Amino acid sequence: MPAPARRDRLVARLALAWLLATAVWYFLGTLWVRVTR
Amino acid sequence: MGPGYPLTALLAVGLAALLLVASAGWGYGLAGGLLARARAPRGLAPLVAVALGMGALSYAAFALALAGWLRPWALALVALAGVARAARRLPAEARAARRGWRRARGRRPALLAAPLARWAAALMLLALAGALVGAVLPEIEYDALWYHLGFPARYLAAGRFLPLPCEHIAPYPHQLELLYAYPLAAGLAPAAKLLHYALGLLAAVAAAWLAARHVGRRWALPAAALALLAPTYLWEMTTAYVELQLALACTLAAALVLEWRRTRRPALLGLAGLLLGLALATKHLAFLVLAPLAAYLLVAPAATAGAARPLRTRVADVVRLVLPALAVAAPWYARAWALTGNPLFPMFYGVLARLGVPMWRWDAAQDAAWNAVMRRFGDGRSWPVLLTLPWRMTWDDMRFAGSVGPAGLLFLPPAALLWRRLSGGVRLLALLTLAYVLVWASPFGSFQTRFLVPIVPVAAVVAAGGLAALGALLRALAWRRAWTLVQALVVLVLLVQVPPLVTFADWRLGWIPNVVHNVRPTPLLTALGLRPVDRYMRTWLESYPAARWIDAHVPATGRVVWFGEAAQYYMRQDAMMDYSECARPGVWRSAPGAEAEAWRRLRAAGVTHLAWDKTRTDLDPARFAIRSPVFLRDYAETVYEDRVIQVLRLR
Repeated sequence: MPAPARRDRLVARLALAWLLATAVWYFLGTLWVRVTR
Repeated sequence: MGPGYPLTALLAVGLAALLLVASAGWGYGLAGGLLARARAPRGLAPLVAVALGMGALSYAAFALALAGWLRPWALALVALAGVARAARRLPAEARAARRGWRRARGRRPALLAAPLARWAAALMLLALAGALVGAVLPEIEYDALWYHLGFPARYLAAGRFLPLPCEHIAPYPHQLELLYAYPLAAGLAPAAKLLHYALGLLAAVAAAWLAARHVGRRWALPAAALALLAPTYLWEMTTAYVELQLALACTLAAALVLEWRRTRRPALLGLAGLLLGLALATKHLAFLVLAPLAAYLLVAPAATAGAARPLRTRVADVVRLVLPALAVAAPWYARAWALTGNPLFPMFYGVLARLGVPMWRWDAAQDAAWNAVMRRFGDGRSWPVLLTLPWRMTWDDMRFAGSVGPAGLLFLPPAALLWRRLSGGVRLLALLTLAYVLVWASPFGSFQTRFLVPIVPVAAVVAAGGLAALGALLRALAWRRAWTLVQALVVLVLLVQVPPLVTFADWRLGWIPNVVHNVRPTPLLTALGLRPVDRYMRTWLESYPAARWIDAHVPATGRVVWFGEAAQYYMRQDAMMDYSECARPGVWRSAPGAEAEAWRRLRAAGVTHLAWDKTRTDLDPARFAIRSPVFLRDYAETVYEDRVIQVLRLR
């Protein structure tokens, strides 16, 4: 495992941001549909 | 069927297990030499043997059907020969497995070392139990009743292949359906469903093996869970459809090609080719795996860095994969050719017609209708739609007639972001997944989630590879809390896909509860014999009572135009769909006023009965001659009617 560089931090942040945004979209979206229907 | 249902279920489980043993016997018997030469890894070889053996059973039935000997006794002899072969081979295999198990003692705990792996194992067990309840019950799903079980049942009744001219599906390759002939011959249709269940389970095991090999042992169970808990994948395990045969064959073929990448043993490619041949003989979709794997063999670098790999070697390796695949599939494509003039029927009809290739049993109008059905799914192919496809298919399970859950959308893009940290094997699996999905989304594909099932196990390994790389990076950055959260998200995704909770998805658009029915109290109580099977059937297959009535009261030579939910398997009679080409002239092309013409056309097609579905909202009775008062008075009489189906006998 190479030592993490600045680029690695960026990649990690991007991956986490993707997971967070998609999870919020999917799970909260589903709950939202349930509540508003 | 009745209160003794648990006995039926147990017999079905026993028969399916026996057929798997017979498959292992045939697999080792026929491909043992190739397996030895390939020195396929110990975890992979039994899976390959069983997958090939299932194909051998199916092709034995194919030969019997050609010879007119597709009879229960003949199928029993074939199966027993496999069991006898297995009885000689399996003790040695079991001893070797025990030795391997003891040797691997130190490595074993790694499978369950991580909390994520333990969660994955627990949730998978719950899902497997739920799907098993669905699998042991009588069949209720559309395509299974229409042709996956319907066709082999009719071949069995006749003792041979039938051309089935009124079924446009009949010329398609259907090798797995001939494997289903074995349980049907024994009168145990649920065992056919259990064979499909077993295929799904084995494909998940293959995904676990791939993940252990190319990602790390602790990722074996999460990868298997990501595959198995994809809702449409799990649903397929409860029914006698066919996509899980492709899932197993394609995952094993990918695993074998990755082994070849390391060892360059040609026999590995031969085995992969045989497996892909069986997949091609099940469904055309397998070309979407064969083509990328063949392309990889063409461009793969030499085994030692810097060495040249001449074109001749490259082509020879492609041939080693493609030739056995095409040879194994050839009988089915030859059959399609003989029946229609188009070996790839019904694909490429337009191209072949323009080239002047003589074809029959199909025309431009039918081709247009078929294409319209294939295009009915998804939201079209405009650029904005294609760019948002991953979100659309994750969200709108109704439009895509199925769901692979949110795991793909969540966990595949991080694998792309972390590309440089993935192992070479995982990268190749990622490219294979990408190639498959791109063709699926192209105008050659159809936006049915079910058609993605064959690549789900491979995609699950890629997702596991991406997660493993992310975990390693986060640990290296000492962002421990972030990694805990990511793992919690994986568990949450798996959790909401376990059957009782998967109805969570219905909160959106509602495909899943229509099909993942098998964990509600009624199915469980039915499987346990505490509720009558008849009641279960009436609840989940509304056309079932009418099908049973026709089976009992209409002469076996009768021919029915069927408007209801598919239930053909429960009738001996020839029941063609209302959209069959044989029924169209009298049904769809005869408007009110042309009652006499409609009657003549139906009679000319040999039709004796009509089974009208009163609940269908897509049919306007006012456009059909057969629903006009004149027709109902002068040309037909009602002989049966329930809440859903009205059966009319033509005068």
